[in-house]
Amino acid sequence: MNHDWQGSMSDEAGDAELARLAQTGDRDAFAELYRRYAPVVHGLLLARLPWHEVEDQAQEVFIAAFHRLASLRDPGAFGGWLCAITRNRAIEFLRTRAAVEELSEEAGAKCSSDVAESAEALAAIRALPESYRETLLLRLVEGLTGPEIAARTGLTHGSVRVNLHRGMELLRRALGKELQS
Amino acid sequence: MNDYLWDRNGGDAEIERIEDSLARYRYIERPFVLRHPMAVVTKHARLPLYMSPAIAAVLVIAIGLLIWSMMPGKAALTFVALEGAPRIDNIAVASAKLYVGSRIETGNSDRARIQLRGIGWVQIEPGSVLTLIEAGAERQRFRLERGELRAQVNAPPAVFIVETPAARAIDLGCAYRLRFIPGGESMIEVTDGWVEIDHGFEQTLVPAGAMAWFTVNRISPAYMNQTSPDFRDAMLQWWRAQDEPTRRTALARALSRATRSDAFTLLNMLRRSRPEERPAIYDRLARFIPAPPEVSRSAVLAGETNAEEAWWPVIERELGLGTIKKKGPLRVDPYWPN
Repeated sequence: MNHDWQGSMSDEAGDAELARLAQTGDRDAFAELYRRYAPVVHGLLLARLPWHEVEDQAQEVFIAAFHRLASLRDPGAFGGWLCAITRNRAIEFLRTRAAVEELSEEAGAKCSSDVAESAEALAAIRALPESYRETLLLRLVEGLTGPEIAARTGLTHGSVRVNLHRGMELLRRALGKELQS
Repeated sequence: MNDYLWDRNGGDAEIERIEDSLARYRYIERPFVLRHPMAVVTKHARLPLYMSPAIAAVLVIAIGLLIWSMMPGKAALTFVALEGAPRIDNIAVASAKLYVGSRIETGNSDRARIQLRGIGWVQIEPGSVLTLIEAGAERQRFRLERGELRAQVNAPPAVFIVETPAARAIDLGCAYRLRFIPGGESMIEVTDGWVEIDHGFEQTLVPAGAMAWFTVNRISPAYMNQTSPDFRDAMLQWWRAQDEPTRRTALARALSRATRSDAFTLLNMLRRSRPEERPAIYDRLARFIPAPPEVSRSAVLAGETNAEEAWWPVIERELGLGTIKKKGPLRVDPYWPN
């Protein structure tokens, strides 16, 4: 099948077209949106949930998104809409699973110094304000660039740039304190 | 101006170090799985009235299945193909939920990963066959028929268990590699924490940085990866020896090559030694790390049960092997491979 989104469109234009096609039930279009947005959903969930829950919940987010596509009025706003679903999913998960024992990444960190270091870095990012936390995880864990984060989340370039730099500054301080202690 | 944080152009050593450190949390690309056939329902779609009972019936069944799937022992684990085309029950699958009885097979260029429920993951290496035999919240148990797996587990002792036709690996946290070769010598190598490998009433505790070999009948003493090749080869020759002269020569060579860091292995050897071998092993070990007062030389040489028990924690402490989580929440019956 040759879709009209498989051309030279920009990502944003392509996303809108993909979302529009997906609304008509085009699974290939949705699969492409999934491929593009899975790291974003993964990163946003990682900002809130235990690591071992992220993968399952990411699948749930996309299934929910697929079901609710008809409610997306502006296909061009797919990224921001999907991010909102992701955040709500995380909140809902934490509300219903509050009593479930969490084997934290920090507990696992006793395994080795490498793992401990990565768990400390993740914990330090998670302790940051939400906007910094999300943007830094998308950048440092998922490997998206600033412009890609802006395109996928619906934030302006300016906001992403500020979140990255202020967040990084706070992260440096937090990691510095941990090293000292 | 260079702004690596913004566009990843140029470089920034500090940020790159943090990126490397966080890499283990990164999303791993995998296909999207629609677990149920779906149709997009438009906002204004209306269903004919006669469809309502049918939908109610489907909903009741779906809810029932959901509750059933969440019962202990029915919990699903997540399977993801990492390389090639691994199969579940003879069908190539990119990702799926695993249930008790699911049999995973990897070809020579396949690799797959199982996300355990809340306690870590198992990676299945090429040329392996692995079956899920228990998937409850309190115990997740697999059977490795052949091949190799790597496990990274953060759970109380004995929650994660891998059986093979020769021996069983009981996870005491955290990470290990297990290779089973049917008809040959199999191997376990622990990279973090401790793993118990057992068979019937014989057991070996393998700490991080150590490995052990096992066959259908026997488990070798655990030895540190960093030990000298001379000591390792002699000790394994002693363990494998089929005839008395070879065994005697190998033991003498192993004892002469042993250093203080081999004390853990020497205590393992003591437990597997014959009466006539015990004095030499005991004395060599005691030279490196003296036995505590509770350990009686004569009782150990006489082969009394658990006579050397109090020596273990002393050696573990002296060598900095870390603490073993002694007891898990569940009893583990002796394992008799079939």
